[in-house]
Amino acid sequence: MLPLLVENLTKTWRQAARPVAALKGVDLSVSQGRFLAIMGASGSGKSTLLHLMAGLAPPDSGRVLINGQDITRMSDWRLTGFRRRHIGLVFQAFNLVPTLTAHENVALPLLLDGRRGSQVNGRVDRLLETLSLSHRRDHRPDVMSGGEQQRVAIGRALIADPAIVLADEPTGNLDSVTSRDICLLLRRLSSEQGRTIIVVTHEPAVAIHAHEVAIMSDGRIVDRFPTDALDAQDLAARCQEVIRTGRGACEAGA
Amino acid sequence: MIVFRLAASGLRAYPVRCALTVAAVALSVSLVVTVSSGYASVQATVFRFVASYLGTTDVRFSRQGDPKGRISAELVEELRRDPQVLRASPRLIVQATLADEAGRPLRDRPWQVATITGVQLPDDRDIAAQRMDEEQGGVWFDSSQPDAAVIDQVTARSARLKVGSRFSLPSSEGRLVLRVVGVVHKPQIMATFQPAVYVPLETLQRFAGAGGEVSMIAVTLHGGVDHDEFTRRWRQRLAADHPGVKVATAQENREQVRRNLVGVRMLSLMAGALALLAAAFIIFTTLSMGVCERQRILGMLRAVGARRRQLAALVITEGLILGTAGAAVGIPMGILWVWALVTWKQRLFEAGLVLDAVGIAAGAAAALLVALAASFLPAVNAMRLDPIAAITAGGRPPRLGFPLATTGIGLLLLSIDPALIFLPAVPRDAAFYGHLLLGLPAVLLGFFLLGPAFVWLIERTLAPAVAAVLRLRSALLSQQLSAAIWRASGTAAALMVGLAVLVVMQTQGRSMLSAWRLPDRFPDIFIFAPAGLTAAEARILTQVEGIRSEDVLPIAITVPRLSEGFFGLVGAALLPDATMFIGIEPHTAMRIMELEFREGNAADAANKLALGRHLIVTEEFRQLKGLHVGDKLRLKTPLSGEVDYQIAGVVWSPGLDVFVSVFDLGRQLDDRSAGSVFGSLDDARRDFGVNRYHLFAANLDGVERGDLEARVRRKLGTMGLMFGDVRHIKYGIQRGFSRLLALMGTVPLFAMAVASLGVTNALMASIRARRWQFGVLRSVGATRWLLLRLVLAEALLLGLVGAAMGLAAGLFMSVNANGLLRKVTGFSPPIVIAWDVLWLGAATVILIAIAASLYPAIRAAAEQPLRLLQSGRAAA
Repeated sequence: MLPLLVENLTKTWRQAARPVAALKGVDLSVSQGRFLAIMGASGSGKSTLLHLMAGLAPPDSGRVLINGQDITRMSDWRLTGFRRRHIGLVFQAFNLVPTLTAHENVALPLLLDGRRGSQVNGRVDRLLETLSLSHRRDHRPDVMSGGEQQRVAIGRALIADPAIVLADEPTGNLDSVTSRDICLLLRRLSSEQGRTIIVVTHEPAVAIHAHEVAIMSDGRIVDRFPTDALDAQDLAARCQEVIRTGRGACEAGA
Repeated sequence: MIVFRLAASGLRAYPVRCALTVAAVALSVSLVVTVSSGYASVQATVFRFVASYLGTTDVRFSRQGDPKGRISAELVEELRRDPQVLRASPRLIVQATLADEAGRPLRDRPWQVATITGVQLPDDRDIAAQRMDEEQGGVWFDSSQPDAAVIDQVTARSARLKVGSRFSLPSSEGRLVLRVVGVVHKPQIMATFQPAVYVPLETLQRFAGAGGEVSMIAVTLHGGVDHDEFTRRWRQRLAADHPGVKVATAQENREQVRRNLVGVRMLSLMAGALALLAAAFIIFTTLSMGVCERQRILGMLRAVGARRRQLAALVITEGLILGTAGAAVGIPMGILWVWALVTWKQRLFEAGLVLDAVGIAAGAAAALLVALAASFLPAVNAMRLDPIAAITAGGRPPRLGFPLATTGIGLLLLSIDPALIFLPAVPRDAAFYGHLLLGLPAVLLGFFLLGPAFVWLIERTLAPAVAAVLRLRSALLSQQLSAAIWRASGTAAALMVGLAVLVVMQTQGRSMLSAWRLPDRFPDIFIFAPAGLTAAEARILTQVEGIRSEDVLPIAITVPRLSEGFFGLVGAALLPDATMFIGIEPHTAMRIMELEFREGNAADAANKLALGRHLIVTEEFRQLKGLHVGDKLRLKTPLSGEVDYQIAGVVWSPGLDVFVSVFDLGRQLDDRSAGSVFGSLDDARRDFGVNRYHLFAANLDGVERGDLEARVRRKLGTMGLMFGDVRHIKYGIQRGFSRLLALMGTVPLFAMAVASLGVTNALMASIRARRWQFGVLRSVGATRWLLLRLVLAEALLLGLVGAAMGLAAGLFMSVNANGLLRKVTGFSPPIVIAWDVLWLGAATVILIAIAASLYPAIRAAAEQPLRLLQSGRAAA
């Protein structure tokens, strides 16, 4: 069973009175333990795709299956619970609750699920240790660096042991050194813990840490390829070419 | 648990805002606690007096429907022969002004009348048990001291009397000289308004010409006697042997006093309710601001798996925390205030501080309820947040078009109260309760929902003018309020509450006053005889030079009961089941007084009244009961039982009944009445046993009032007569009423003061949201003074919105209140709008808004530009 399967997804937004087709029939599948980066120019639909995969908005047509469950047919009540337990989300702006400690921010999905006590605490502490944040356990976000805050956000995304982690420009607010650290962390989580991670980014320096890159253009996935034989410059050049021509060398989908 | 944790930590992130909100709730709760416990303390003092007045009295016998009436002293002996009676103490009560030994008035205040009580001592143990004043001392008299008197401490002080002093009571045959043997201590509040003098019973009977008569008999029963059974037995006996005498247990008397004080309690609680309403709008604004400013965090919570109801619970929990904190601070604050009041006015609160547990609990519960109600809309908004929009764009952009939906709903809600009141098909009971339970809340909610419309309109029409006055570019102000429309609406609604209530109070009050106009033909003078004049003494008046002998009108007053529930509403004793019977000589009355007949005419009515068993009734009877000329009205009379009177005419309230009420002070704690009926003197004597007249109207013949008084006193002796001409009396009544209105005006002022905290809150939030903008303005050369003017301009606009809403709501509610008054009581005056007070109120609201903005404005203007830019970006 694939952690993620997207079939013929379409989505149109309305801006003022004008409809904008953000997705025009996207197909995507990701295997367990894979780290996929989705790249594309601004307006290519990559963020929209991520949001629909997270169940934050319904598609106009198509399906999204997470661990075989079609989230597009779920009620809001069921989808919210599903997202809490099976989907981890990481945002560009960290979006930590400023009045909670690092420990509480990481534990948030479990606490929202009604769980508490030593089980939760132990689990959170172990995750904080994995993320090298034990020394920040009782600190609030305002005393942490950007990198530390994003690691807390990643911890929050992982605490419920989700089927999939979706990250929207996770390094957008970080400097290059910290960005690299985050990327390495994500790669490690994927390789060593078998996490399935999908990152939306416009930075080749981030995407190069993924196992694969999918390139979107004009609402479609136009190319998809592994990153083994590439460096960041090669990747950037290939992306530019694909975006310029609107066509990729590989088919969309795995 | 996580919801509480998030709510508590979220509130801690905005300490000043929370403190202001908690302060608003605390002030409101403290007002509820203060007025309810203050009322309880006053009530305890009154009841202490009642207890001392009733003492060990179990049952009381008195004249039915006429507290000044008398009963035969033979009844005392009958009661003493009853084996269940331990003690029967007769007392005679008259009223008079005091004079010095030579007969000159001691006090020169026309309305102050002393109550002279004749008692049998030492047998009357309840009287004998009253303690002497600590400062002035003395002892009670006994029957061997016919000229002894005991006075209360206030009378002693104001009349400069002490033990051993002499004073006199004037009468038509001279004066009764008395010697003070003791000064008794009375509760200050009672002694101030009802000065007391005690003399031996026989002495007073001789003085008042009341041989063999008393005013009341206080009966103490043996232990173990069933009071209700005793009362029942004697009611049967009285009906047969002593018609016109009523018997009431002490419990019934206390209950009557308590019922009469209910109106005061309701008014005092209304003050607290108003303040809580203003606090409710402030809580709403605080929570709305919180939802608006935390859209990103709330969106994130939805994204990571928080359900909609968890977000709603978060907002509601924040509201409840604010309400609970407000109650926790407000209750001790209120107790402190009432303790300070009771300590400061110890003489008034003789029973000391009495805390009203129900009032305190009600204040706390009300704080939680308003918090709950105020959090509803923000909770709904939080539930409806779109997580994507919240995360990516920092929230949905403000809708800047006219708020059609909320305006539509608001107008719909506003239509409920007028429909209940003005639709003829809605019965009286339904209109009254519907107004209280549905109509009034709908009006308040409706105007709240109209808030965005007011904001939108005021901003578009007045913002350019405000900008011009403050020398700002119009573009800087445009949409300043509507960009956070619910914040502005909530704040304006809080300001609206106080002003709306002020408008209603003043409009209703002025309307009542203006409607009370005297007819063109009205007696020149009224003469009040506290001790009452017999028919023979009344004839002496006609011989006084300067009084037109044919224009002397004796007026007999009594209060007959109507059938139970006559005027009543189901479950609410708004109007008592008794009316004021004014006995007059009909032809004289019609000649010297113009009555505005709604049915019938003066000549026919006078002829019918002269026949007996006919009445002229006031408009309430026609409006509420549909009675017309020729219909029967049944009155319960003490001497003739239930009697059907035929209606001879229907008149508009002539003002005479108001005059009568002014003089007839003795009825205030006893029998309340609704409406008035005019009958003949013969009916008053035959059916009600009224044979002494306390009030006379007369026309004069070119004599000055001062001369007239001297002439009357020469003929009749001083006798404590009081004189009042029409203008003087009417002026006194109007002045008293105006003072009452002014006093009641402090309640809306308090609500406005509470609302000012909300203004500060809103402006601080607005400044916070605009810190980046302010930083940019300062960076490009805007002065601190310009920033200050910007914030003041926003405050001025908020004040204008609040004033507009307050005036509109107040006038709307005034029209409804007028309609309800007509529907419930059958009477309502034409509406007179007190424009001077209204504009003053509106100006006050605007000034309060500006004053509340000074601190945030100065703080924002004082900030360094870089700090504004940095903190603004951090907030974004």
